[in-house]
Amino acid sequence: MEMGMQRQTWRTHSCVPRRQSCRRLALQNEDTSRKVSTRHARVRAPRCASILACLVFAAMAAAQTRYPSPDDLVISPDGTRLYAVLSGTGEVVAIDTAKRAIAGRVPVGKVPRGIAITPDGARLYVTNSWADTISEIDAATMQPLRTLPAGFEPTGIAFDGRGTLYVANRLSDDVAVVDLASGAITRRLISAHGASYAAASADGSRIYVTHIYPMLGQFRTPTRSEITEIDTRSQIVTNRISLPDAAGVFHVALSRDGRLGLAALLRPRNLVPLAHVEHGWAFGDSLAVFGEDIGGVVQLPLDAIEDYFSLPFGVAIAPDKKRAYVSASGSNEVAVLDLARLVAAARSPSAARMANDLSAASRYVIARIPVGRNPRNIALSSDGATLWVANRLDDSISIIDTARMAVTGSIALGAPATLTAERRGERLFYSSAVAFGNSFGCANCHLDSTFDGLNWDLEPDGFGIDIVDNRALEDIADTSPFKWNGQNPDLQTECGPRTERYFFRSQGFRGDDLEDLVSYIKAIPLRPNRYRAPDGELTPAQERGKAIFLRTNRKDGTPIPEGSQCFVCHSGKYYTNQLVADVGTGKPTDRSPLIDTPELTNVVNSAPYLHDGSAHTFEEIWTIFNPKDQHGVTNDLAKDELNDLIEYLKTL
Amino acid sequence: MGKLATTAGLALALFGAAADRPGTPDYAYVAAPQYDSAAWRSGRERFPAGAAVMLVTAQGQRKLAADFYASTDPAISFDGLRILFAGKPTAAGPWQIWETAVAGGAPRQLTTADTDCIRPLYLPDGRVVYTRVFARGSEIQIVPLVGAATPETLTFVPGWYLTDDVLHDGRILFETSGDLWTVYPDGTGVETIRCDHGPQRANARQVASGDVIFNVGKRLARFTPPLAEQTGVPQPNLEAAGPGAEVSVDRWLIPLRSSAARPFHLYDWTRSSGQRVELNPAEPGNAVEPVVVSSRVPPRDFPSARVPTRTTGNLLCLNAHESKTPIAGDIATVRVFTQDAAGSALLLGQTVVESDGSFYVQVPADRPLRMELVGRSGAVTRAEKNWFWMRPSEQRICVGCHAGPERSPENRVPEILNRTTVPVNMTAIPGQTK
Repeated sequence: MEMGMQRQTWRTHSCVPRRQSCRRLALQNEDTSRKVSTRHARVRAPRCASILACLVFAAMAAAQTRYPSPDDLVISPDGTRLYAVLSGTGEVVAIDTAKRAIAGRVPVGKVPRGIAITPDGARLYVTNSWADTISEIDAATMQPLRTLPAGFEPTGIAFDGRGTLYVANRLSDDVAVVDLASGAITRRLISAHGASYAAASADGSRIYVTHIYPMLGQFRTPTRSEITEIDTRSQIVTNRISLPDAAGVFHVALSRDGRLGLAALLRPRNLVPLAHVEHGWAFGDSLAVFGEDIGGVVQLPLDAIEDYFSLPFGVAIAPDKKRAYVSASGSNEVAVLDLARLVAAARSPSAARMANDLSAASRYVIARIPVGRNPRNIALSSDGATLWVANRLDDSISIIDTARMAVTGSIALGAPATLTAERRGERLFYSSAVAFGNSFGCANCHLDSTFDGLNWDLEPDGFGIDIVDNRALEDIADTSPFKWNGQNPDLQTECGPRTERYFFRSQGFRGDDLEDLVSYIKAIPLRPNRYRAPDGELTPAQERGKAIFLRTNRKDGTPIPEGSQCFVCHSGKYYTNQLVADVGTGKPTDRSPLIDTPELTNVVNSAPYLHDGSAHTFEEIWTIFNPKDQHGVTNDLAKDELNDLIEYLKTL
Repeated sequence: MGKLATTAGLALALFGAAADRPGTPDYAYVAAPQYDSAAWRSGRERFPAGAAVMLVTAQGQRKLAADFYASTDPAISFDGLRILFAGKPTAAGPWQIWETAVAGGAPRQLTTADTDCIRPLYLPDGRVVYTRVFARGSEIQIVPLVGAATPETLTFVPGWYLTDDVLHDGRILFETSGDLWTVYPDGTGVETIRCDHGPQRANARQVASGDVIFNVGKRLARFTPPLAEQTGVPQPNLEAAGPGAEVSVDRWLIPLRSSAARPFHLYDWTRSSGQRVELNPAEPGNAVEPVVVSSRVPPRDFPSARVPTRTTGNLLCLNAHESKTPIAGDIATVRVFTQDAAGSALLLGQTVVESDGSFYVQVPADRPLRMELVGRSGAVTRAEKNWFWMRPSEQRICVGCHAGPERSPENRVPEILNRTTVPVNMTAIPGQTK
């Protein structure tokens, strides 16, 4: 059956007969949108030359502007130095903690994210998330020593104190065990979806790994994540601490005696229609509290009734185990927790019910301290007196006097003097100030500017209809229209009045703010593809898969209708013809069967699939959700052929 | 009138009062020979002997609307340059909403109703919310600051309402039935600010911390975001008429009196030290409703998603069993009621409650609504005490039947939505033909 296809009436800017041009574009890998915009620019050039020149200059300047963007922190064992990973400039800086000044810096790999230090303070290890490597650094001289291998998008890193690194790989969903003597990966331990943060117990006997994305469960069932516990002597996973109802889980910390663990996490309400934002309707900002002190694991909230602790991220436990600290990367603050009260709450018979009680945090949160924008990880001095906070979008480090529970200083990390539109937009993207009660922002669902692996009930007119999967935002500038059904012609429509009215329920992005936000979103780059060889050459399986993607005949030789050929709809640079179509994947609860043709760039990273996230894998798209060959002809393909097609799709 | 003139004259004699107290900002207050803050609840006059809004600056003190018979309820614009007030140019007419510049000038009339309009407040979207008083009740209404328009009503259950404040998050805080409620500026989302249902609450204002301070009898209490129940506010051993005006976290301008026989006087009160300085010691009458005259950050604007052409709203309950107080008995069905013109309950319909406690109904908009949970025997298991309303196209979900604002929903698809996404139609009003 040939699929239906409709052109949206607002697509008046299209200069080429799209459907006819699709195949050519797919084969030549050209960028239709760029051609169109260039053509428009050429027509206007005589009148707008100076404006265009200014815009080009501004764009070049913006592209060259790099902000330090501190992300992770670690303190030397003697407390004299603080090391900060600058994910924006690709560096590590050493800060003299007495002078509160930068004492050295060293370039590392692309987009560094995590850092660990050896117990003697001699070596630093930094994950380079876009290079899939680890930088080994001499901490005294701040000189690079070695580059070690990791998995796909290494993020969190922990050292067992004896000679082995444990690296959480976000895109390969595993933990690389790296032997420092040989510099090689000796094991890959299966973790959960989006392994991202890691911490070692004080004695190095155990490693705890958390995950930024939820595990893929049955469609429209409660979310679940886990804390993966690794025994470092046997180097095997010995425990998977289940976190029901959790999705994004961030930093994890252990008490010095190893009996108490804390992990920052989000409890999404994606299964309930988002008709309200009050009452914690969108997210619960929470802590997983686990370990022998608790006798299990419970989740306790950090929010207040009209004042949310949005996007909890970094965690630190005081050496004397009296207090803990958690940063909120959306509401720009640090919470101070009384650990005795927290443990008492966690051990109380009503602990399970507290997970959704917005008044529970009053039992154990004793202060909330405002810090800079988008605070990421935090580091506590060995005496517990000073807390350092990496303010990623302020390019600074806040210094908190824990006795006074107040910020007493700040260290600037050398940001450019001016803010680009993209940077202003990034600040807006990560801020929760746009939503009722500071409850959430763009980055709650688009974690680290990606996605959250969840499907949501967002329809503003009715309940339980038009369930929608959250899509990634990489390199989407030229992939209009937007929204799952293609109803938003541009990002201003996608992110403007509609978002404030139906999501935030509060004054959202307007005017210049909206333009800045769109500038940022358009600038979100495509992450490196891990499955495509640097020279572009495909493996035999990928070649076979490509042939299937480009085929025009079934295996029996009969022609495949043009509208059911993969590359017709998934065409162009982004593998989308930017039209809507009925491919039979609509559900009875959808208002319309017409679905926007999604781009396929880096599609391997963004499971689940289909407009509503009902397919966990590529294979399910064709084997479960394509019974009538409406979504391409796939029912004549054997298992190994589907595998080949998958191998090819991974390279896009 | 004569009494009021005396009051105003004495107030004028205090020329330069603001300068007497270092750090005391410019402020306005209401000078009134008599003040009965609760009178509005029974349709009586809060200022039976008249009142005058007095403006106190470093340059002195003056009557805000000098030519008016009476003025009350001052509210300062977000830029600190203009003042809303309820005013009566003559003794004969009703109270209406007026605006004037802090710097002076002729007041501009914003409402032209045939009954009283009182307690105006600025909204961040360029409109004004106020209370419209009728013979047997009051309503909360909105008018634009500029341009004529029919006032928009936000309340749809007969009763006595009084606007108190506009919260930082953009919701309107108001009093009714002895409790504090919130509603969005499009009339949606009406609910009590907490569900601890304490004794008579009144005169509420939000302070910079986000806490809502209000009267419980003669004392002050507060709601604070971390807590689901009201807590006390340390204060002098005197009767307070509302929290007054916040100068800083530690300083309030607060009306206090020693006994019901005495008038309220205005004090500059430092909370940490307990020190209080009377601002108008020569004032013979009451000095109440103080407001600081300065700019401030406007509340968040609320983007309405309402579709005015609709006539119904959708109501989803996630779990009728969820309640702060135990529900004795089983729950099999739910009945939804509205009211007739006389205030008698009319049954709109009855539907099954799913085993997880969920149900989904469509109800008429802009009418009183109330629900009853019914057991298998047909006996009422739990009945709502208060009535509420829904606006056209409003999509509303309740965690439970008496869950409280502190209770977040469980992340589960309610069973009713697994069974159907079509609500039970309860939009036909008995006795009303379409």
